[in-house]
Amino acid sequence: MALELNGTTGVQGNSGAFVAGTAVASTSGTSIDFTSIPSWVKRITVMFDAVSLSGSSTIRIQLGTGSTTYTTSGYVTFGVTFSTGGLGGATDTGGFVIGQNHTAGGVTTYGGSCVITNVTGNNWSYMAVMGGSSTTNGGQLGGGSVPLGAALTAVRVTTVNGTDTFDAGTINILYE
Amino acid sequence: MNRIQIDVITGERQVIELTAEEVAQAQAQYAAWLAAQPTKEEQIAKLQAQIDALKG
Repeated sequence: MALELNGTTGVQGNSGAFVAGTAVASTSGTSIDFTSIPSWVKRITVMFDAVSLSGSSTIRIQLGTGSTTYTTSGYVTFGVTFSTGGLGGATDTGGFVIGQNHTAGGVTTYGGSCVITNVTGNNWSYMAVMGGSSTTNGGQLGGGSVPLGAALTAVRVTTVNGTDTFDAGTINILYE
Repeated sequence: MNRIQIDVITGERQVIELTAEEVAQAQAQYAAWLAAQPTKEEQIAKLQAQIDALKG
């Protein structure tokens, strides 16, 4: 398998190499969108470092195609939130979810990763694990899959209610 | 409200204001998500049934 290396933009051909995206300070915005993901990509890791939200909504990952339309239906996914006192879960069809809800306003910051992997064609699977700084809603899990209508070109990190804003931390992706 | 967009090839970062249509779409999606979730009463009933089953 040949590698095409470009000193400016990294690996251009199919390869087993990781390509790191540009880390984003997740201190504002209702979503963080990573676009122009190459068509040869088979696995994407979204990484969260000390991230928090202004509200208690659930982090949701949506996949985009073309230039750029985000798929907002057809996901089969379930998220689980753990606290020391119990747990809760929720399904979603509008995007992959991490957990059921989060602790609002920077009270709890979360770190962890989600991995989005190509199954075949335009079908993608998903798994996520995050841990938080609090015993309330500190554990976050998620898993699922989605068939896209075209090749994946973008990943959006947002929330289920679409209006909570990110207010701390850093988010980045690796793709390979 | 705005969203942050990063081009992974060029590294270009843009801050894009949400349109009224995007906000309305997000609110509609959230309403649909809420409607699909079990109510507190349904969750309590399910838990109670599990407790009853454990008690035999």
